[in-house]
Amino acid sequence: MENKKEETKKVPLLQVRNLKKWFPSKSGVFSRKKAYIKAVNDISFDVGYGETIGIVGESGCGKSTMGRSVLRLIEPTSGEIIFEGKDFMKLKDAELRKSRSEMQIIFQDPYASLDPRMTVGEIIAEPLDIQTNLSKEEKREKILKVMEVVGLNPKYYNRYPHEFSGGQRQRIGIARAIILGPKLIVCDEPVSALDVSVQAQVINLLKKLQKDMGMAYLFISHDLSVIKHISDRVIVMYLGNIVEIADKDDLYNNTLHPYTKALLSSIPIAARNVKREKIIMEGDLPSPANPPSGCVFHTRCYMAQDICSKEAPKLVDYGNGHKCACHFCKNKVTE
Amino acid sequence: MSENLIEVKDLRTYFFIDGGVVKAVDGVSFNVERGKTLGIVGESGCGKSITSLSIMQLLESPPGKIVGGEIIYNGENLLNKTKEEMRHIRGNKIAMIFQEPMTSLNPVFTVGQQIVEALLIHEEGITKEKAKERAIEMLKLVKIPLPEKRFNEYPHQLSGGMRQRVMIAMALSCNPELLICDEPTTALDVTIQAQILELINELKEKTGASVMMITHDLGVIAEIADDVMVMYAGKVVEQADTDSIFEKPLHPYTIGLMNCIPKLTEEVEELSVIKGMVPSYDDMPKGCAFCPRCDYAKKICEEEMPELIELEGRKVRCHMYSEKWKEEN
Amino acid sequence: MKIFRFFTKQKEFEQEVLSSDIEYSSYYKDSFKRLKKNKVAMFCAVVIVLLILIAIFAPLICPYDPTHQDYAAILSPPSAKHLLGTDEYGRDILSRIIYGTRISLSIGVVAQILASIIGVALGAIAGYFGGIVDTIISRIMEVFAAFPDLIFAMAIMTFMGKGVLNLFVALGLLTWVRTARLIRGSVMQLKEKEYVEASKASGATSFRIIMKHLFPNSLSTIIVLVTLGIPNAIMYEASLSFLGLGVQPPAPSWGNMISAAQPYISYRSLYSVMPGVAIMITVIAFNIFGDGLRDALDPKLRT
Repeated sequence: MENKKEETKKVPLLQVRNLKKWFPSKSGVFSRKKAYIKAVNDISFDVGYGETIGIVGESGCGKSTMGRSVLRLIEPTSGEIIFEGKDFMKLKDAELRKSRSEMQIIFQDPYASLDPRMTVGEIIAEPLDIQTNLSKEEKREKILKVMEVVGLNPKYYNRYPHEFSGGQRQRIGIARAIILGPKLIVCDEPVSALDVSVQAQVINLLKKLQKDMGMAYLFISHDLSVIKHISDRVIVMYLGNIVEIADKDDLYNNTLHPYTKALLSSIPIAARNVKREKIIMEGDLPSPANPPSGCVFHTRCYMAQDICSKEAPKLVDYGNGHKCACHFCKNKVTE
Repeated sequence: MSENLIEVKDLRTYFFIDGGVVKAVDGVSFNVERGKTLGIVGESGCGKSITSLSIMQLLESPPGKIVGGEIIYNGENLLNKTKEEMRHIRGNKIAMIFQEPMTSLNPVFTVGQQIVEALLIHEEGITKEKAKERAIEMLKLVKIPLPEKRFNEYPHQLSGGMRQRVMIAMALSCNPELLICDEPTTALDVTIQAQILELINELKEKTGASVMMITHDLGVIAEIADDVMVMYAGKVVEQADTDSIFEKPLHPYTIGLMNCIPKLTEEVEELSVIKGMVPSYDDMPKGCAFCPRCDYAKKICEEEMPELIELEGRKVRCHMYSEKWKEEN
Repeated sequence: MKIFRFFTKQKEFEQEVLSSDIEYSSYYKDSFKRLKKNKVAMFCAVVIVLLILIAIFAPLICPYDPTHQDYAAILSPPSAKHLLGTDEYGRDILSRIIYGTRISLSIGVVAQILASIIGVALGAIAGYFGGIVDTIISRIMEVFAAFPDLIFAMAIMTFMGKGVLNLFVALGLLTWVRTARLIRGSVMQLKEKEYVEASKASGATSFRIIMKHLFPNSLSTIIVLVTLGIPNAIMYEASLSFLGLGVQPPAPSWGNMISAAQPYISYRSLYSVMPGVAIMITVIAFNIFGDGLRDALDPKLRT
């Protein structure tokens, strides 16, 4: 653990700077003015070697778009992505394809993420087929080994995905993601489609794999409890912006941003007699095509004042890398 | 009048597919008291949704068929009702809301029209003007801002949370005595989920209706239910009031479910898991359905399906609490 | 090709890697099982096989040379010598219908294959790349689709001249748009799938994605399209030949036979009815089999 932390401080594995992804939206056939949906709006953060960054937010906050933009599966509008000191954004097509062996992705929907016409063996083999020149036997050996690592019976090698349950399918997806030994895996809601009892199995597997193989995770989820369990640091997103970013313990024990507080208090807790302050937020998430002026959260914020609708708060560091974008959280800290 | 609004006795709903029989609901009994909320919890395929569809008699048939049991509602067995009578009961007496509100709302009519339509069908002699008034009232009741404006909007113009509110407004428009909610918040964000749960709780107080809350989320149960029924593979494995089930779960499956969710309040290196997965219907264990995944399982569990036994005023289906278990030790 | 790969691979593993208790079930095997259950479709499959055999072995089963003219027996009624009678040149109608099978089937199959090649290629390109490429191809498809079918085919035939080869081309050009549209839609849907994204995330090229994921997943659509397109092409062939723009006499085709039989329809009705029956049987067989195939390949489509 100590080693890991020190390494993190030296050179981060991934540096994301001012990442933006704006989708053009049609504002009318004849209108000259172009409108944009700012799905990811000016986001910066680092991911250290072997670290898990949890990214949490409601649907439509841009967390999935952000995960895909980091991998350039969606081409970002602007910003810098520096992976192991190399500018990932500048890579040409062929170089980009080659460097993809370092970063992989695990998807939410275990039904849509596996090609129904391929066998388990073929699915897991695909990254090897693309990135390596191994012989058939070497590949097979590797695949069978990986299957064992993720807890799949090797005798399923020739089966098709439709014969498996959601949890096992997710294991197949994980096997595909780890077979090249990547340094970073973007996990896009990998457990939210699974049953509770299977969810725990997959989370434990992901943690174990990280311990053994040392890759970093960018773990995207809407579930704050899962995020808390798996992450080292947490980013809270709202309407394409980072509103709070902190080490896990700081975020959960010393919550600064009112949105994070509201999120935390909204989770139904599976226990009785737990007294806690409930903040029920009013209204819905505004449309990202037409975000509120000033602080994007002010329309639902229980602390909002005049300044919030006029001026967007900056992401300010309150010590120990705990950053928060709110006009009023500073007062709180000094209190 | 009895205390129980609805009594389900030994309900069996089977599906006949490809020459095989899937016992989706296999001998389920429970009561819902007036003004109380019963939470039914379980994982996908445990039969919780089929139970509610059986009560509403909205099963797709074939392949589904209620092959046994009784559903006593206000002293009358719903299974003996004609289709016409059932149609009257659905909506007027028992209403249901579903997980995905978009599929239950008609996209080509405004939400207002749809509520008015429901009122006109179920309430005899109501005028159109009156129905519209009531519809707007209902929208107000479920806390939809600007109800007069929303009345004329189409479902796709509303957010998921708003749509679920409209569904609740529709369900409550005819003052039902029982509201069945089938995973009403699963498709919603946590902040919206909190709003909807609060709304359901509030409306229950206001109207005195009973609620059946079907969910996979123990957190939702803790927030809203008075009594809990845990289902596994078509059978009830544990029944108790909510406080005691969270205080001391008895069935190994309930214990496992509670332990395997990551918690905000405590820190663990590794989550405890329930090993394996839900058995598929064509591969049901001979004895207890949970036995292959159970940490406490013994020989007797493999051989014999345990009965639902009564224990300290609650019910549990597990050999651990039977006389035989003690004998074996 | 894919199917063969499955089989060889499977054998390898049964021998080398896996223990004996492997349960192997493949998508196509399952589909075939479903198809076998559909009795009507299987009957139609038998009919199609028979038609193909008839076409192949036409010279062996024909009682007469289809172009042999017997002036002693002009327009004779059915008899032991000529089972379905003879036409206005004394040619044996049964033999001409049997040979007509050859022309009709080959035109149906070749025209469809041609249409599929154009349609699949353009549809896949439009669907996969989208944007300006899609716009251009879609506009071209709209232009083709805007002409009334038969008039369009007649125009091509008049322009290129009559003949079987030109008929292939005309029918191919006529029917590719439907294929292209469906494939475009299918590819647009498939490319959004997460497994395509996963492939991209592993560094796959567009070519690989199309060949490994999009094509195999569209294959069932293509098979069904071809099967259902064949009767369509046969109908067009018959129509064009009937109008004198298709297969030219004396070569026999069902369409030009009906056309030639027209003057005699009142007293030698069998002469015009029998080629019609042949067309009907073929078209119905292909249509029902195609529907069965679609249901079997994609159980989700079944209602």
